[in-house]
Amino acid sequence: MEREALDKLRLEMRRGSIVLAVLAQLRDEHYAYSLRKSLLERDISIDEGTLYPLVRRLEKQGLLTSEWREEEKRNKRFYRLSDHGRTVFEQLRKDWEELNHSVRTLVQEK
Amino acid sequence: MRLVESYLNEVGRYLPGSDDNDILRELRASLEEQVYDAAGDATPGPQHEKTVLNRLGHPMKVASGYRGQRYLIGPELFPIFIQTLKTVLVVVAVIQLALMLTGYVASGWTTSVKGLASGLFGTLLWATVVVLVVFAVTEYSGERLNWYDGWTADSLRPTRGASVKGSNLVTNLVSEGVFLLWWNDVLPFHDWIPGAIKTFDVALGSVWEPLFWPLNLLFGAWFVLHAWVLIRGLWQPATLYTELALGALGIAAGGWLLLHGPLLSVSGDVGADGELIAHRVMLTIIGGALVITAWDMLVAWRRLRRAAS
Repeated sequence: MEREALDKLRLEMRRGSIVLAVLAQLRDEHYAYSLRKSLLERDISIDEGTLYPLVRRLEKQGLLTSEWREEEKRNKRFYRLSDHGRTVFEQLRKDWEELNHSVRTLVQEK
Repeated sequence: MRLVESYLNEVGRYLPGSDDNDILRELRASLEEQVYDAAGDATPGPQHEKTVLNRLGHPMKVASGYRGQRYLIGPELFPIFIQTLKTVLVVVAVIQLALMLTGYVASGWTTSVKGLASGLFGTLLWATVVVLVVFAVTEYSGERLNWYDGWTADSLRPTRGASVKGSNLVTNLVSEGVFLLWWNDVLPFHDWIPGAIKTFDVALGSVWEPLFWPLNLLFGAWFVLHAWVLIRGLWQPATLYTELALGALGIAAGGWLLLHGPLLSVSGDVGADGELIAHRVMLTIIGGALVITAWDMLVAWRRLRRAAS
């Protein structure tokens, strides 16, 4: 039971930062699978069932643009930040740095 | 990659509807690449497909991610809620109809058609409310349905086909069922015209008489086919060919009727243009039915081509 509660808290903590991580990776162009792999290489594991719908939602919100293109004889949908997405990402990055600084100070006190 | 296609068919059954093809196209591209990655230098095979699909998990869980926020029942529970609701409604309707038929065999019709329809509707409404309450309570209790986690790709059958949209098939089933009831005089629509304005009578022309059994068989076959596909949740080549064949027969029957009219026999005080209007309405109904049949055939043909590729 304690383990389950801890998992839930971890999940909630990660949930808030996943969007920022995805936007950060999409400053460079990626298709869904390469995005997942590049996040995994940085120890951020997001299962496809969460990541792919998230990317589509971000595109619908106008933060990403996408296009279907052939690469290595396979059609893939490539995503990258839109101009609006870059503005939003910069703002979120600043907010995250401030929050990170505040939380770090808090948890290191005493 | 037959298992991947079966998996995508399963996912497609539970997607919300608007961007299904686009979502499945993207998932297919990603899954194929993962299968090639899993195979490494070897030729990709079913075992590699299973490895990838087992990691991804239950198709319903994947589809639930594409659903937006729902206020009464959340995206994780919603697909299984819909699946359960459909199953319960079908079971309840079958039991109710069986009870009605038993009553008919035992003592004949003691209730009007409207009364029977109203009884059936009331039962289905209650069943819906019960399922809804159970799932709403589950949602708000925060209970996770762990049965998702036990899923493995071994349960997939490598089939060629296209997933179905239940709502389209239910529309077909209802219209075919209503036609059969009307054609066999169980639902006599002309009795619904109020007596006060009933100064004339409209009946089908004699041209329909030779089609009594052919249309019973045709619509009966359509009904059985669509019920079968709805239960399987998949259009397969055999069912698609049957749909095309039945569509061709339907168009032939409609064409024969149009060529050999008159379609209606009108009697009584019908007014100056009444008979002409009645004929035009009938022509429009048959024309509409032919267009819908042709459209269904075109959709079946496209599905068949997609399944073949």
